[in-house]
Amino acid sequence: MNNPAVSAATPSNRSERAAEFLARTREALGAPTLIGLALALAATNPAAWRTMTGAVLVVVLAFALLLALGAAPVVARRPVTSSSAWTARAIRHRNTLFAAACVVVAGLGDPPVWLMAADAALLLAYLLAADALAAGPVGARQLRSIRIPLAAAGASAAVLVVAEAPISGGAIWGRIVAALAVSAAAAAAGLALWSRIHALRG
Amino acid sequence: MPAEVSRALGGPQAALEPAEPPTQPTTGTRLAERALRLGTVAAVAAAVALATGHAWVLSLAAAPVVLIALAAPGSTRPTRAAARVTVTPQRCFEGEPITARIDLAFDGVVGWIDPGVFAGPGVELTDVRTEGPVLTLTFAARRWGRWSLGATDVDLHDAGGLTRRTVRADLGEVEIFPLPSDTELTPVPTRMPNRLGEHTARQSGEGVEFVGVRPFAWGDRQRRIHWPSTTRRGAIQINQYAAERAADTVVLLDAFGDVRDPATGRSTLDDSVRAAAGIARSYLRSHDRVGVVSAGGKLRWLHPGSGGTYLYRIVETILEVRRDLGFHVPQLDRVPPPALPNGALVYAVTPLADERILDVLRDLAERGNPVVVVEIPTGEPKVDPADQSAGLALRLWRLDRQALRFSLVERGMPVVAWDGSGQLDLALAPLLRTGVRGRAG
Repeated sequence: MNNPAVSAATPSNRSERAAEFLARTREALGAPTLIGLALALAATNPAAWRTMTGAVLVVVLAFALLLALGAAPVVARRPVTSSSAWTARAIRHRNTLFAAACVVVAGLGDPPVWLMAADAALLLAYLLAADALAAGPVGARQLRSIRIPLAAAGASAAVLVVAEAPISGGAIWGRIVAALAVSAAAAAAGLALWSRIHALRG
Repeated sequence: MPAEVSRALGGPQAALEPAEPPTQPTTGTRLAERALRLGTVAAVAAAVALATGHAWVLSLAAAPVVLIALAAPGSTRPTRAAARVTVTPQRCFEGEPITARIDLAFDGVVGWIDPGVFAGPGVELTDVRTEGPVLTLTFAARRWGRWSLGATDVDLHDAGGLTRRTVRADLGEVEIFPLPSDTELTPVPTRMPNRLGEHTARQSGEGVEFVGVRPFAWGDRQRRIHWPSTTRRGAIQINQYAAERAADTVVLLDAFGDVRDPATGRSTLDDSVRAAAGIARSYLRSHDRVGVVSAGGKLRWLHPGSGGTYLYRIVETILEVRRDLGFHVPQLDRVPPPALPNGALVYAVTPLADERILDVLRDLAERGNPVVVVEIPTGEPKVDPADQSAGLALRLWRLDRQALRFSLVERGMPVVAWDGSGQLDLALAPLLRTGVRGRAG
């Protein structure tokens, strides 16, 4: 005999599963994932792809793709430790591990300056996006304020300029670049302090 | 499911089953996920820069360091936290909402209140709202019983989201009463105790229902003379009326086991308790005395009483039967006489799935109480249509059930079936035609 209770429950379960699948897909293909994918690809040093053989390039790209799709989607669940096994902990902190892995891979290479800037910008964008989704109203507030991302980007740019500026050769423009870098760092610090004081007053 | 509810429960998968609260959380201040993420990235970048000698990698550390510096809470970080819980109502019926209000007290500035709810069995978290330092959790009562509402771990993040402090709030216990079945009919035994009530008895008395005439006797009131028959017979005839009595009813609840219908997933114990509550409510509305005896691992009973509030005492008595599932056979001889008055109508609500309840019914029949068996069907076992021997086994099973019912009817115990979905009145209606007879009746 056909049971109406069972037949009524089945489509409901299907629609719930479909909605859950769509939500997971949306979560997996959201903005942080795309930024993470770009970060993973940038970390592999695209400028050096020409020097790689076909097989190595395929392996590198596949690894970056899998890493981004698996670990870049933001974990927005409460930080509850379900198990003390290191695999469970790694899954729980996969966003952190992903960002750290990208830093390690990028740091081992020797990319051109534009790629260094791209790495820094993408890493900052990924960290801000992760904060916005996983850190509650604090992260969302940070993203709404333009000063905090600007301060972080300014500091990163200042360090990059200082690191890459040819100031040790004795040329006059080297000192100018160094002075500009120091000014930029001071401006970033000032902007940061001003933003903080403004936030505390607000 | 709303996003905040899903987060509080730990994800959609965790919401499907009741969760046992984890061990007591650390009371001190801990780093939040955000601080761990930013700090790890900055530390790794600095280490890579030192190890490889690539100074530009320090630029990857600069951004998270600035974000941490801007979010540092300073002296505004909360250092003390406490929670006070108010649950309303603590007693409710199935389907009704239960609200737990958690008032948080803390010092410093809190940027984010992040609750984690470990809801107990029998309730479902439906809403989470945060207004200032007040956290309001709304539950829906799903299943009758005396349940723990669960516990809530509330994470208090500082203004920058870098550190958190957890405070646990125990939500206490709630009593969820079963929704009584929709019942209004009250079949009565043929012989009722000599107490004024609403049921028409077979004995003549001072009621309002006309049952016949009889010759005049000295002392009869003149206003009761039945003139048509007096004229016809040539002698004074007096109207006779039926007595109106109250019935004693005892609901015997079979808590020997809980069988789930393989097709619908319904629990026989749930339906039994709803039927028992419905029967008790309908008799209490008729101003009868109603008692309850639950036969399971532990014998619980409540002597018959009357009044609208007595229903709650009855229901509270049977709320614990889910914990009583065991292998002991109760001795009905040890039931105190007030629990089972002589001649009381007994409703045995049972799935007839356990041999021990048959012994109990046999004992009741030998005592002489009129007994009505309300069968809660367990559903037929699932069989493979292609399996011929399984089909034969199912046929044998059906015949066995029929034989069981027939043996009960032969002992003077009518059997009515109620599957928990329709009205119980439809099952009880045939009993109105003739009173329920016991050996004493």
